[in-house]
Amino acid sequence: MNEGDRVGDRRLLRRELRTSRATPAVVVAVVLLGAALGTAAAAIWTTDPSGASLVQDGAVAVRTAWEEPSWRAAAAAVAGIAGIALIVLAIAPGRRRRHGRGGARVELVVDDGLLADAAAQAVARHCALAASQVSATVTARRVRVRIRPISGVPVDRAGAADAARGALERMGFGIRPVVTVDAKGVVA
Amino acid sequence: MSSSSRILNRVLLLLAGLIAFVGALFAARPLLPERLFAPWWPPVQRAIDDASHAVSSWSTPWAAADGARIAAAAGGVIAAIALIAFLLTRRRPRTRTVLRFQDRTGSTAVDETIADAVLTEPFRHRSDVLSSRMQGYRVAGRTALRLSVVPRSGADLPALLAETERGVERWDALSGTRTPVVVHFADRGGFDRLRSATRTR
Repeated sequence: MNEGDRVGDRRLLRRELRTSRATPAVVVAVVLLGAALGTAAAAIWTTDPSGASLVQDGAVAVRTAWEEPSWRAAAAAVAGIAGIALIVLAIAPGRRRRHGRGGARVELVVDDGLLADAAAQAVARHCALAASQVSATVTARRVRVRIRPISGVPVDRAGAADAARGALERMGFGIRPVVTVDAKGVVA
Repeated sequence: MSSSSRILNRVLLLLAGLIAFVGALFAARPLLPERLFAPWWPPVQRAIDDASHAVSSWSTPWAAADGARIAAAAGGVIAAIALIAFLLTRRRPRTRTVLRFQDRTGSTAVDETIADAVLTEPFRHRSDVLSSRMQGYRVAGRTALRLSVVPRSGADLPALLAETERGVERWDALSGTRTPVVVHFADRGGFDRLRSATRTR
């Protein structure tokens, strides 16, 4: 595999891990397209005297509403919120809830939910607990494992962390486990 | 959609966001304290007035309409054409042809159903897999394969990955090329979450 192929494969992986923002961009483009066509149509229409008077009436109505502070404040608030939301959408990385890694032959992408399941099952097996007593959440850099122990039975926290780490490393993901044990246990 | 197209999505969102935000500031100007706008608003207002006056006073010998209308119509049409071109390039670059051989006698195209049969066939008989499917798509001028597998709760993911890599090796041998492959182990969604960890026949 040459360097160009590796770069291409990394690009494939990045596309799987980041959202494309195509949907909000299409919505914005459709709104802007409507505005652009409306502007062009109004500009052409106003060359005709009957069209000009209609457009003028509309402009007067908009100007009257614009002078009203409440309308102006509402318009400013809506535009401000939309503007901030769009800027955040444009700048934020848009991470999908997945982990990915390159490999010798295939690029692997695994949903965080599946990694959490694998870690929770490994911990439940290690601690000899029911699957319902262990829950796990995978974030970008760590997996948080929460154990509800059986009352009176101590939990090997370090062993549980090793089990979770091992389950994820078998898939090639080095995610740091953080294990918490509930103070209150359940009755076996 | 290529990578540059993906950047265009963000550029459009950023431009639209900035326009909306500036519009909000403009609308809120009389409602906010004067000292916030005093240092910079008069020159901006003067520039807007000058530009508006220049466009309005512009006239063409071949049309009765004034410059502002012609500028608005031309700007609207140009923006509409650019936006239509943008919308037409937003589709996902799916391809049903995953491989193409060419020689002196002609070309042979391999449909994605062939790759699907090779790559997903091992999963059809596994009890720990709910579904699997393969799709071909074009990215960076190359055809890539995307194999999506939805495992049952409690499935052995490393074993599934090994099975996948064996399938990819079979596809490499069959096709005689090394097509880029993305394997996606997808979480169960909707009713699949309610399915049991074991399969009964």
